[in-house]
Amino acid sequence: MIIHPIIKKLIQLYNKGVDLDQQINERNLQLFDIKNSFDLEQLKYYYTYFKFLKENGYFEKSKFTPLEKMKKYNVEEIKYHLINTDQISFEVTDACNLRCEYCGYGEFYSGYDKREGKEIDFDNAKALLDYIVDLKKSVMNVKTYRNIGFSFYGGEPLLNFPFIEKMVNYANTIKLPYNKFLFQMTTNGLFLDKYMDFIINHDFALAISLDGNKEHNAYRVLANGKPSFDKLTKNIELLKNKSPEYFEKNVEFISVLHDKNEPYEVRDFFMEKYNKIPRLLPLANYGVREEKKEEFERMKNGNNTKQKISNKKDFGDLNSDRFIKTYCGYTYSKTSTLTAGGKNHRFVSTGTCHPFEKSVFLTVNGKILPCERIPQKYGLGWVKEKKVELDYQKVAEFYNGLYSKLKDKCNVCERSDECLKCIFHLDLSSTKPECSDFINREQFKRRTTGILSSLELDPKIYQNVVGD
Amino acid sequence: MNNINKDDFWLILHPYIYTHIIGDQFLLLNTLSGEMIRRSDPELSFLVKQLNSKKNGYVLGLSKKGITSKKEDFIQEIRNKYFGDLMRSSISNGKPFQMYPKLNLQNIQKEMVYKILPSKLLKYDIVKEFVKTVSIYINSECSQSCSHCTSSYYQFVDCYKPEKKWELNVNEFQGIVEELNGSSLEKLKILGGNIFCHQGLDWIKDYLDKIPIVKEYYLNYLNFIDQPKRAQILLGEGNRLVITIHFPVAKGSIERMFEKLISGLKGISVRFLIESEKNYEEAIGIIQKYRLKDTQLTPYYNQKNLEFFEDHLFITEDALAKSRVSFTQIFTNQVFNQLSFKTLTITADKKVYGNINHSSLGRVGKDLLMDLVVKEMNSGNSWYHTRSKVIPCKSCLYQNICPPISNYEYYMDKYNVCQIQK
Repeated sequence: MIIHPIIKKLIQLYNKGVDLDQQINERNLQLFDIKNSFDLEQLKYYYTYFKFLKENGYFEKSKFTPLEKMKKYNVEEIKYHLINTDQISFEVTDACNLRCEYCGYGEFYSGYDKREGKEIDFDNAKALLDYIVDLKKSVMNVKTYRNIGFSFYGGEPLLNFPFIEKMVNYANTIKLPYNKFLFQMTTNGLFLDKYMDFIINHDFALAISLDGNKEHNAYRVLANGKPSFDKLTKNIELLKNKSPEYFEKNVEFISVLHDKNEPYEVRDFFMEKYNKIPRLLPLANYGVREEKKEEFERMKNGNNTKQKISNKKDFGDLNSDRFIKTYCGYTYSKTSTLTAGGKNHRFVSTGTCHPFEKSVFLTVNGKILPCERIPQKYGLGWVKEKKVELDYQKVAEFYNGLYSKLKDKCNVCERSDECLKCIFHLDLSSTKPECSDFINREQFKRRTTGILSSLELDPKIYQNVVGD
Repeated sequence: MNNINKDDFWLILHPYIYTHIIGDQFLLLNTLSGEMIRRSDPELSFLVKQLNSKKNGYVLGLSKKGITSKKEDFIQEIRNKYFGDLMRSSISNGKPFQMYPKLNLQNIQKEMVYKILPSKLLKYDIVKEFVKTVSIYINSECSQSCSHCTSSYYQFVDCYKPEKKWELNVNEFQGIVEELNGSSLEKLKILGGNIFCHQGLDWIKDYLDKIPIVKEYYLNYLNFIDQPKRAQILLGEGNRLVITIHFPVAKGSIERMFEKLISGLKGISVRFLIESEKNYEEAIGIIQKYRLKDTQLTPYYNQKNLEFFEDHLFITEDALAKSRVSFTQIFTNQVFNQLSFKTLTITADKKVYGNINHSSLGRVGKDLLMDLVVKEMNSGNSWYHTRSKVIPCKSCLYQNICPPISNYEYYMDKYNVCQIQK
């Protein structure tokens, strides 16, 4: 909001606890020493305006919930989130028939369990499913009338098709009173030709990984180093011809952005070839090995992916974009959030989900994780010999411990209003973990000034973000 | 105007100001104070248009000599009412930047794509997000002959006895509820005819009791009096019983009704249909006499009481100012009709409506509910029916500030139920 220098001065004095009424009544103009000349009449005008804004909630120290208060879990909360989880996911196998150079379980990254070509144990997976199904029958299940994602991940999940088949058949025997399972799979698609009947018949929501055209897809190679593109696209054609309706309704594509592709070209490729808009994902930038950082950065930004995105008008400027969305107050993610109203409460947040809120993920080694996208070293429980070992108290303490480590940082971070950082993507081995997104008051001022200056110079950035 | 001199000015509108311009007329609303400035003047309208343009974004460079006396008076008014300011250009090095108000539904584009290519997943998403309240008429049978019966139903959620007898059997009912699995359903309203005439009501109640959402059962007071104990069985955790009373009340019936209502019973809401001031006074008398806590006074248009509506219910500019319409409300009014949005009505003859006053979207049993939701989003005329689409509101400066189009208006076939348009 543009404000007159006198208002700025009034805010400064107000924040210092100066009795403005008294100073203005005593015509103590020196106190209001500012660059531009003004008279008492102007001062009185702006002081009345200042009071008007103040009455309407401006300049108030916003209600503030510090991190450790906002995220202090207890047993009941852990149980609540588990009961209401959106998704149950299985790492079907840790084996893969591709050797994607940027693979999250590849040479760039650390923090995952060693890949040994293992397959998940059906009995253990069944035990976890039964455990959650039992919990879902509780009155604490408030997400009735919702589908529960039932997801298969890998490695390449279709390398262990017998498990998928057995698990789907078993899940179909379960009658949940007010929820239904929605089968989902993320696959590289190379075995689609073998299993597409099953996938279609069980109405799977299918996410196929493909980075665009043959050149874009160059990092996705077979074990022998040869490209996977031809085989995959042949399978996609088979699927499309087998059931055009299924293909249209249930199939989506996931494309990772790197130095060999470009968002617009990728999108055009999919629109032209399959009439679909792909989900574009950046390379995961957490857990990258120190010695691989340079190479990783080259792959991530070598062709300046971020810049390429930000140069495109409708992708927006990434830095300003988030800032505007957080602070302008006029952007809503979708129609259903429009009625939620404005923000009047400040949370010191992180981008971390509540434990199990979004997912319960079981690895091939029997570890229970709150998400498939976090390093596997953060297992919260086990399934061993058909028994689920999940101590809610320990889970609560673990999370509380992590937030306690972060509170000093997060509580003074000026970016917490717009934070999207998952804490599991930080190096949590330290007692005071560092966060690449942290900014202090001075840095925030500089950043805000920088963004506002760039908005002054190029208001189109704002226009693009607000869709004008 | 970027080549501004140091003696020139920036005319600024504050970001909490809403603007609406139609030709030479414009309206400015201060969303903090509720104050409005309305003018019909080509020169000033042009000035506001310039301020509001994408190029200027609420900040307009003005030279000293460009400020006519008319503009000066206007600028003085907007300063005095804290709508904006006039600052010397020297306060900043370049043109100051204002985060002017502009609704951006980031994913509306995506939602549109969903509409065009509704995949199963995406359909699920739509239903999940876009179904919140569903009214189900389980039957149409009723032995009463209320005078308001065939018209109140079009004005607000109320029981209804059409000429033909229809009934949803329990399997059909269960099928509907199961189809809503996966949605964001928060409230189910169960209505008839007289729901007590439905053979499977007890089964329906037991079935719904297991579902932790709000259930509202609707009964006319005459039907309640007949079976008070049965009515009270409908109550329970998350259940609500809405009993409608209409005037004139049957002799002695009110006394009988409240005798039979267990004192202090929770979950019962008594709704009075108000056609006149007299009805209003009677209703207040009953509320006070029986110390009723949960009550609703619902205006009812009987085709002869337009004057009552005009006097007491038509919106005035003052009322709008006092209501301090927020930007969220304004944006909402721009996009959808909040009264109909996310609601479905399913009648006993299995027809599905986005709004009962509009044509049906399809039929349960024949169409999937989620497909009908997509149909309403694509081509329906209820959920996205905003004032900008109807005469005379579409040419009114207040179109986004006024409350959404109500069922009364649909029923009256009259959209200017206000005292604003001159």
